[in-house]
Amino acid sequence: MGLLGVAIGAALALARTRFRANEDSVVEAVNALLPQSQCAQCGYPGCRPYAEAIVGGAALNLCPPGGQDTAAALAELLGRDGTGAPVTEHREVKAFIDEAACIGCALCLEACPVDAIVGANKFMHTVIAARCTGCELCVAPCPVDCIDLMPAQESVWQWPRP
Amino acid sequence: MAPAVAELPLPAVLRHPLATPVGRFRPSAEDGARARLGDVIAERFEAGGGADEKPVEVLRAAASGRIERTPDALLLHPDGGAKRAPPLQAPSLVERTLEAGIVGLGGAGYPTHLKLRQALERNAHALIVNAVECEAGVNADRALLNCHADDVLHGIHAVADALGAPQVTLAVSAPLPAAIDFATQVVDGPYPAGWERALTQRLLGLEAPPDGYPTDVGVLVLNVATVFAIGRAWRHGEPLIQRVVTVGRREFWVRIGHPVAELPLPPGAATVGGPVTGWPADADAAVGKTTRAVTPRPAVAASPCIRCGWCATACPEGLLPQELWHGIAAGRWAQTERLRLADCIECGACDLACPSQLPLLAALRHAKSQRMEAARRDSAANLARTRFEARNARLAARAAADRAKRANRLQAPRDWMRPRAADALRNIPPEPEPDAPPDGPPPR
Repeated sequence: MGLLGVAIGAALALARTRFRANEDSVVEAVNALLPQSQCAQCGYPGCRPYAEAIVGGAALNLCPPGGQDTAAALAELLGRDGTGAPVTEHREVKAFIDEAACIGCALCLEACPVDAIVGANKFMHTVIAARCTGCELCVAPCPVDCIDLMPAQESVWQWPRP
Repeated sequence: MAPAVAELPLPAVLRHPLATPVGRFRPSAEDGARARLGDVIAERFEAGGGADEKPVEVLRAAASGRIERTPDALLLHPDGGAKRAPPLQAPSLVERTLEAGIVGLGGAGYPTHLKLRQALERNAHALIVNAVECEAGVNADRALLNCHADDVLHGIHAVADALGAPQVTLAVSAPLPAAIDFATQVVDGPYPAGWERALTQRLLGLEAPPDGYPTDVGVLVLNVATVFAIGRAWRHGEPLIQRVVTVGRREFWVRIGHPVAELPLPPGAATVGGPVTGWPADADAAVGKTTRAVTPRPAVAASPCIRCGWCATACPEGLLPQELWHGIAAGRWAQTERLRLADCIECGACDLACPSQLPLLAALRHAKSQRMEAARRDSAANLARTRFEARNARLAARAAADRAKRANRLQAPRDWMRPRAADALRNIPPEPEPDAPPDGPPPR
């Protein structure tokens, strides 16, 4: 009996080191729930940094694009309190550069977290709409205020709930 | 010969909703512009396609008139004029089918030129012309075949010539009048016998792969109305602007865009589509390319599910509609995924079987569109994540390269330096590696 106890204890000790929840995999799971708009509105420079911060103990309710749904999903994943997230209506926007007003300063290129703006110094810039996440980070750096946020796509077909 | 199909008079306005189950149309005509009969007024592109890409579907004006654009529809006010666009010109059948705006008129609305192209790429050896029309109360295909068999045959020949010499089968639900001289195959199985997968299996003994289509086993299945439209487009250069629709109990030629409210139906609620697969018409509903029928809608009072399992027996895909119903009602999406929600073909057999008269089909359609939307958002999020990570890696690599260059420059003593200065330079401790993001939220 004692021998069995020792054996099981050893096995458990081994399992503890062997199969410990990998912190990276937790970060990945958290990251997968975030909306990936990379908007930094949570105060961290992107979704993955926020995911790392969440695993390190940051609050779950800092993500405005994800809103309450994301906070609830995170709370369920981590077993923590996710209340107090901002209520967001789902609104998809895309940045749009008024090319007539653009002076080609390249400041928005550096601000874009997903490389969705094409252009070079003294050349006109444009946004690749299919790559833009609507994070608004390019709006503030623009010195001539030529970037607008437009609704991404008018209604996509949805069958109504019966 | 059956009596000719009557043509409905032109309504005061033709209405084309921009959001459709297959995607969103982009108007190509300006507000207030004049369109001739047959002009392209809207186009549909693949999701995420750029501005320079070719459309996958075009919509052509069914009358000459004035265009009005609203946020979610394109309206055409016919002016009674007779101005026509020139006939279609494209030299190949695939191109001509796209030019004519032909899509699968059986109900799926899949662009026919894409289906033709796939059949050509796979060297399809068989062509099934589907006139089985298994949904009770819908006779549009049958009326078309009875009254316009010659143009259907032109279409069959056009497609058959393009494919080489395929084995052609004309599948019908009941024998045709003797006047039509074409070998047919009568298919009178249980609903949904006209489903292209079931038809391929039954007529040719070939089974399409679970996640594929009959074209994957070399069989091209086209609805008879689609074939008719191909015949008109190929022989006469005519675009698809009208179709035969069962309105109530009779068949009419109806212009694409005809408002449902102006169809000759008894007052009351209407169903767009057949009595089984249709959906309730709202005030703005209009006849679309895939609308085979518009029927009066009987009032039903649904009762709770009693888990009798009749729907599971009726489902041709072998799904469990009752379990899906409960999963959808509770929002358990993982469960609906396990129950193979994506495999539902929206035939409505479960609706017919349900003794509680639950709107099972409507619930399944709703859940499927939610699922598509979630998939779209997931793929967008994945793309953004990949690009964000690639950008971070690039910036980090560039910063590391800059640091290395600076360190090299500092540590390499120059020839002209005095020995003591050079020694001092060698003893400078290397620049510390910058840490990964500091603790706490950095300033925005």
